[in-house]
Amino acid sequence: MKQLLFFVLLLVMLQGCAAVKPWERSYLATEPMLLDESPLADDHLVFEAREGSAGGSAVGGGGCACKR
Amino acid sequence: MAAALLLHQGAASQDLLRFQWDLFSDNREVLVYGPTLEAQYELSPSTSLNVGGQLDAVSSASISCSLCHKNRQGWTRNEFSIGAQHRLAAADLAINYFNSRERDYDSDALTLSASKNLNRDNTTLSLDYTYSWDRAHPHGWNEWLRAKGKRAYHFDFDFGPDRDLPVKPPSTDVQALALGWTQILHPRALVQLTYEFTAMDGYQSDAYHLLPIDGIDLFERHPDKRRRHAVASRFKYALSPGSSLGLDYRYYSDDWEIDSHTVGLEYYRYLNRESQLLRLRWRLYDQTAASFFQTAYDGSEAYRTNDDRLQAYGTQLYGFSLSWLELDLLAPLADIGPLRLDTSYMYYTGGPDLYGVLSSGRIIKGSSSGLDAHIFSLGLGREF
Repeated sequence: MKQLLFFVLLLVMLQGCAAVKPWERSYLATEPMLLDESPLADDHLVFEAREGSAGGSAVGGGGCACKR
Repeated sequence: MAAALLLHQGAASQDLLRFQWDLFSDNREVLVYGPTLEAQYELSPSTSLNVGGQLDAVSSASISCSLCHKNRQGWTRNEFSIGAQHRLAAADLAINYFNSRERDYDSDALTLSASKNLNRDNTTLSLDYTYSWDRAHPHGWNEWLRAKGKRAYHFDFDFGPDRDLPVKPPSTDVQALALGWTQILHPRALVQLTYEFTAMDGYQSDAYHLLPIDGIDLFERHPDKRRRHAVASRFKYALSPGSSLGLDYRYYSDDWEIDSHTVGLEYYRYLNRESQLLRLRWRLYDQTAASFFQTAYDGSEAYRTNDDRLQAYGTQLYGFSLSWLELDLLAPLADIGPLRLDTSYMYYTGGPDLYGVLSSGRIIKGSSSGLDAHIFSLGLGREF
């Protein structure tokens, strides 16, 4: 519950950010600034098969994943 | 470029065909390799379809597989996915189905996603819901089921002691809900916050994990319920028009009393007039042990485990990738335009010490060093 409250609080705080105009986004439009992982970075199976925790990056499918 | 000006690209995307080859190898004699093929087709400016397939060839003598895959016997895992994306009333909607099959484990998953840009595309809210249904079919259950007069399944291995086996093949229901918030902070900076809740119900033990207690092999027994919470943040800052720095942090907690912290740092940079893209990456992970994890059990415990992922440990990952963004690799053979070539290498180390590896009811290792894994990937794709 504390984590959820912290998350909501952060969201409210971020609402105060000034809007960036489309013509000001030349830096943001480059691939180095994309938040999506690179095409090869699908490593969630590797971590999920070898670590006791998961989640927070993307909602993935099921699967054993115990072999990767 | 224009689409990238939006935080979320949405359904309006290009046709894509992509092939990838992955290889995973570690010091526990696990070797996984295989191809992935994915395609995306734009039906209309607002709707696109995607399909994907993956084949994992596995050769292993690891803990989990030591009972049935000794001597590096191999098997395969087939994965298939299909999905559609559609833009409706300024919101992006998506549905994806995922299927994984291997000879002792099946999984189906359905994901529904929605996202919407707000605040003149400075903000993106996203919501994802996934339901997955996993079924395990451990080898050797047929003999046990037949002995009990139950329906037999397709198993092919004598599992040995069968005390504590459940009556029917176990299944697990998993539901996950993820909320995402992406915000442009500055012409050079953006942040993403994600909260994910996962509810797992059903069989969550590994049917190949045994614990020798008073001369009898008992199967591990995990709780049937698990509630997982993960809060993650990603921050990216553009150092220049062609380079960026990324910082990730995730806090995880569940009702098995595992808490973990994950920190990630990455650096991107264009090379050679933006024809290549370099990515350097570091990841640090640390977790506490599950409440019922012990190095020895007397048989009276409600839960017991032989899963090394449930002890306290940490890992590190070092990686780099290099992509050629427009490569005329096949120009002499066919006029199909430039291809994108992605290469990456990751070194994954740390992990739990093995505290009890069992084979045929006997401990074959008391402990060993942690994990050292090498992960290679090679991808080739074309956008149309």
